[in-house]
Amino acid sequence: MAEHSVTAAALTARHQTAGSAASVRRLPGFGWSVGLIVPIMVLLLWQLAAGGAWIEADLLPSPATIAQTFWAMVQDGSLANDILVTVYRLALGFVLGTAAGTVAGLLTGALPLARRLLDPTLQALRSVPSLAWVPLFILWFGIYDTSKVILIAVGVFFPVYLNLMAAIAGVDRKLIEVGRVHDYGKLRLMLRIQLPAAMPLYLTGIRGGLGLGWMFIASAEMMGANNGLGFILTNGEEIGRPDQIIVAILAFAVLGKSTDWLLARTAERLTDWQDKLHPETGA
Amino acid sequence: MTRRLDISDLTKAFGAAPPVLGPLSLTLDGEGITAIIGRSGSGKSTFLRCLSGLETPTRGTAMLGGKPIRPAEVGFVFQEPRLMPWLSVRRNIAFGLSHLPKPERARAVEAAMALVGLSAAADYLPKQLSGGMAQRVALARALAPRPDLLLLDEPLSALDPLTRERMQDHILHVAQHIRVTILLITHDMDEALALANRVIVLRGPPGRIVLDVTIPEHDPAYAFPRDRTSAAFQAMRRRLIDALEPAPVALAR
Repeated sequence: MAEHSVTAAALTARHQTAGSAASVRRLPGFGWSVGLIVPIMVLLLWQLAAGGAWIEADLLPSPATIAQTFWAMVQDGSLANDILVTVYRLALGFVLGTAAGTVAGLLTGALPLARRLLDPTLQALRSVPSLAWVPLFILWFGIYDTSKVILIAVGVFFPVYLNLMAAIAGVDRKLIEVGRVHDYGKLRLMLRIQLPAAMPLYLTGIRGGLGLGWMFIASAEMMGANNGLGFILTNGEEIGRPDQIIVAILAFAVLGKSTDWLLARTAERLTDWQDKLHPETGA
Repeated sequence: MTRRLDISDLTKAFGAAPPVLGPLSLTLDGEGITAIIGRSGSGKSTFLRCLSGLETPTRGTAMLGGKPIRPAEVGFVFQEPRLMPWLSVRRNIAFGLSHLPKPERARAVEAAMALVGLSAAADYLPKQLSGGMAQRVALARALAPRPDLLLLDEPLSALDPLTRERMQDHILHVAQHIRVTILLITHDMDEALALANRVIVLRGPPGRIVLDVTIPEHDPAYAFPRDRTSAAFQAMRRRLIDALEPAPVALAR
């Protein structure tokens, strides 16, 4: 019994240490709002410069004009519509790319023969710039959504594939041996040791994939679309509306950051067993 | 009654290199702790890994109760705890029990946790444990499937001296309370003498037995807990040192 109380006390002590370290890291009264200081300063300077006519409104409209354009696009529903279209394409491409990257990563991570067969080819394809795929995909899959979704999937695929392959192949031999002394077969080793151990790096890959997905969707929609945020960009260029372009850029930034934050939070929850010095939400 | 462990002519070589172990023959009959000591390179870890199935012996056999050892009959504790960092203490201990129905599994885990005094820490993650506690979880994980043979591969060498002594008490407690044949590898003579009722000295490569002493259990001088300052303890210690380190012939010449 004395043993148990000592154990409990030791645990409590460790918890308290961890708790106080966390509170030191967090600045009281600020938190995530610190990240807003720079954008607000830039915005103020920009408005001042535009008000003083130091910059040409035809090239760079004032924040107030952009806000008006934004509001108009919100009210006529066009912004929401374009965002939905873009998010829909991204989501499809993301799911497709993640699924393909997961299958390829599992195969090449677990089977050295598959790695020797597939990895060199995939690595070569990885070096192809995203825009280079566009003409081919349009020829193959048409000008509509399919070619765009496939292009996004290609972007998402590589980070997922590379990270999962490295994670599975690099699982600590010492943990694998624990499975082997418990008579684990290959499948159980994979399910109970390799996959959970690979999870942090896999999630990093998915996060990287989503980031690339956002970049690829901009390329895809700029190459030939009649809706979506990428279309607003090219359309803004054609009709000479920099305010519209900036609204689309800001929408990309906000959406990209929010989806990344969401993924980072989910990843952190799934891997809170890691003994990390600085928990990083990416917020 | 535990089953007899018969090891005969066990030899291990890696590839075409000369053998690192054996041929080695040994019989273990009954419960209690047998300590195997030897310097680095004496093949003691390889010996244990051959028994656990982590390595396949080049020649020779290891039989438990007259049959080849099955992994389910063996518990193994490594030098490091090697806990799955994503599993709680409870689920780490249940790691080798997935073949059991749930209620039975829970009972086995509770029993193993109680045996090493970990019940209060059941829901903690490995990152929240001290080194000694983590190694106790590893011990409980090895014991939970009720193995016939418990192999301990220098499980205390990474612990600080104080924790090590408490861990020795835990191992002794296990040896006295459950029926299991324990093979403990250590390079610490005092540890071997404090815990074991038989001490085997390996020298190599290739690792071979150079001394095999049974500690007289009924001799009051060796009653547990053993008095490390007693004359008997010190005399036994001397024997082990002599066996580990042969007289420096080259220098005498």
